[in-house]
Amino acid sequence: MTSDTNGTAARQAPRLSITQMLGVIRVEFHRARTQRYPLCCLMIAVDGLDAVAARDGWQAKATSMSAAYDLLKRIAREHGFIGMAVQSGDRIMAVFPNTPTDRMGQLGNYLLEAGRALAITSASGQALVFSLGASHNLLAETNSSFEGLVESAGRALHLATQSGGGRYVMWREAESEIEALRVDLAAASKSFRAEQETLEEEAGDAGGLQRAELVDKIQRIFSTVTRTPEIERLESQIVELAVAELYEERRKAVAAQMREHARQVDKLERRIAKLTSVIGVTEEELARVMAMKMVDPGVASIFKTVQGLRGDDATVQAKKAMMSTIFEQNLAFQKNKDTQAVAVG
Amino acid sequence: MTKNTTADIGETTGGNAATKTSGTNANATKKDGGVLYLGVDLGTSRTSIAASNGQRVTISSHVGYPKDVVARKLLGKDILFGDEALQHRLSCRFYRPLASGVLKATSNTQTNDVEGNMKAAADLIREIIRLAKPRSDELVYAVIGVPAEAAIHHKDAIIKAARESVDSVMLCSEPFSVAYGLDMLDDVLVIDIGAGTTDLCRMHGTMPEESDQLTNTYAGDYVDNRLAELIQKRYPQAQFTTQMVKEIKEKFSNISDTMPTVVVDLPVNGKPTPFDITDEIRTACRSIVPHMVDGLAKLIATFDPEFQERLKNRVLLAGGGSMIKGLDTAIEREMHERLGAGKVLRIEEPVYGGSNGALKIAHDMPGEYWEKLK
Repeated sequence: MTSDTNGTAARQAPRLSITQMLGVIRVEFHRARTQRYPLCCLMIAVDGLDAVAARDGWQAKATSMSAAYDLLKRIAREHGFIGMAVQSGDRIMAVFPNTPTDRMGQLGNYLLEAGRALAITSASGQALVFSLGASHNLLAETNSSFEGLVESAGRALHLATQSGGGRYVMWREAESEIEALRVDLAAASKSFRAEQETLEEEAGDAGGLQRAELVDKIQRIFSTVTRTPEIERLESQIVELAVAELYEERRKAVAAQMREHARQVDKLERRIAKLTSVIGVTEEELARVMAMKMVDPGVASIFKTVQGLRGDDATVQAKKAMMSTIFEQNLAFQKNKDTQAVAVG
Repeated sequence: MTKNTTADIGETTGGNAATKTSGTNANATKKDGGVLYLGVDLGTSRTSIAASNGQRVTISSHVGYPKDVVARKLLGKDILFGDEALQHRLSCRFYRPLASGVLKATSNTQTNDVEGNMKAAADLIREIIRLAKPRSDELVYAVIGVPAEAAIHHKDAIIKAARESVDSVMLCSEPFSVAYGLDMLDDVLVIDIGAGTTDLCRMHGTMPEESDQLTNTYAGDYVDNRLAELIQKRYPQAQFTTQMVKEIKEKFSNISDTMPTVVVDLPVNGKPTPFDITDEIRTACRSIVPHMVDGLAKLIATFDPEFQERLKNRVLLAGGGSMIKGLDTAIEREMHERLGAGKVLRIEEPVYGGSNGALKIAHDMPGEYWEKLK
């Protein structure tokens, strides 16, 4: 509480509850939708917050989130970003009206750099790392409802934390498709790894091949023959040879299978990379179209073809002669101009 | 927004319709949406355009460029045109790029900023064409009216400025385009009174030749200067600018002896003070009549004597100056005194008469002529 020069207590601005803040933010979202200006939603989380709390106690959670909130306020003020923020639990949500996506990206980078530079630590001295997820209202899924906008920011934050933390991710068009591809890639990689381990185990287990059918057949053949030391030596040599050949073939098959797995993984990864770059191009196009949305497409002429004089005009002959004269004068003028240009050149 | 966002954007992009980079670039893009004809009247004081999509626009021939970053931020634009440029001229580099009906940059009178005037002229032409709202998928053919006696380098400058915005452009005489627009092609004498020039043109059923046309500078600006001199002479304490005088003239111009009293407020040492300038206005407006009849007399006298009477009785008054009340009667009276007879008709649409006529010429021009001039 501060006091003014008269000594009376100055009023403090009333603090809004989370519900009231969300109401204000929701109004801003709908205003942005009606008036068609860009609006971004930013979600901030502290990486490994649960581990921090486990280490430093439950109070560390509140302290860490408070540090993140202060950081957001300071950086936003320093760089001229105007918005509204609300903190609830282990998330901070901020909304920035009249902020296009590239500008939002700048704020994301400022926050990450400041977080690293300031080296904010927990009570036990552990450096806090922040992840940021953002969405914007230019997409159908995020423009149609405030919940869609918030959900997309949340998904972007999830991507940021899942991919190692300490990064900023903006939710983009077709991000869900990329996410599905990533899930497929992870599942395929896991399955391939399991298969590979099995194959490698089989390939490496020469003893297992002892019970292979070919070896069994060889041993059955030799069991019908009178066993002498030489026959036994021959049998072991043939079995050894057969096992070696079988092992070699098995190894080749495993290698071929592993090559196929690697090819499929590579294909999935390339698809993800290509889709990611297409999204970048799409966003540029979106920005360009958004900028062009005010351009007037024009009013169509009443004529679809070149007209010329109508034949039923009483003075058509005189007008034809006039048109011809005007044309010839203009043509002669342009020719003279070209001739002079050539002469000078 | 669907996932095929890139394709959707490609289909819906209409583009900035009035901006064409060059004639060759415009030709390279196939245009099959139609043909837009434009008739342009490029005047010293006003520029008008009439288009075949129903658009008709007129703006004052003023261009302003914000002087600095602060001005640009306040005005919110990089270039201002027309009355907006006039209103904010103190915070802009202000241009009136046309003088005596032609581009100032090419006139023989000294001008301090040739490049600036040329750019302003090009921007003005581009803006007036943009205001006609052409579509990007339409061919744009324009006819621009120029003063009857415009020199070749003046015409060159206008064509160069227009080429950026249209597919094909032609120039024609302004008074001729007025007569053509009204279908008055025979035995008509057109007086087109603009701000910079008064153009007279004799129509006799064929394309007028040089000898059929005449230009003098006894026009709107001459009246403004004359009025300013008279006010200054009678009321030396009054403070005013040429622009203020012009606005007074446009509001109260009258030649008749029974015109109502005109009292205007002009500052005297900062305090608005009423001044009766009825006589000054009448005198200033009348000052162009003798010069006009001089021109008429010359054109009539050199015409076929058999048809001179017909010519005298079909004098067509056009242009912004034709809006001076009583001017037609005053010219008739002077013609009766000096030439024995005279009948003056006033055009119905003084502001758009030239552009309407130019539009009609553009419409009647055969397609192959446009193609050859691309």
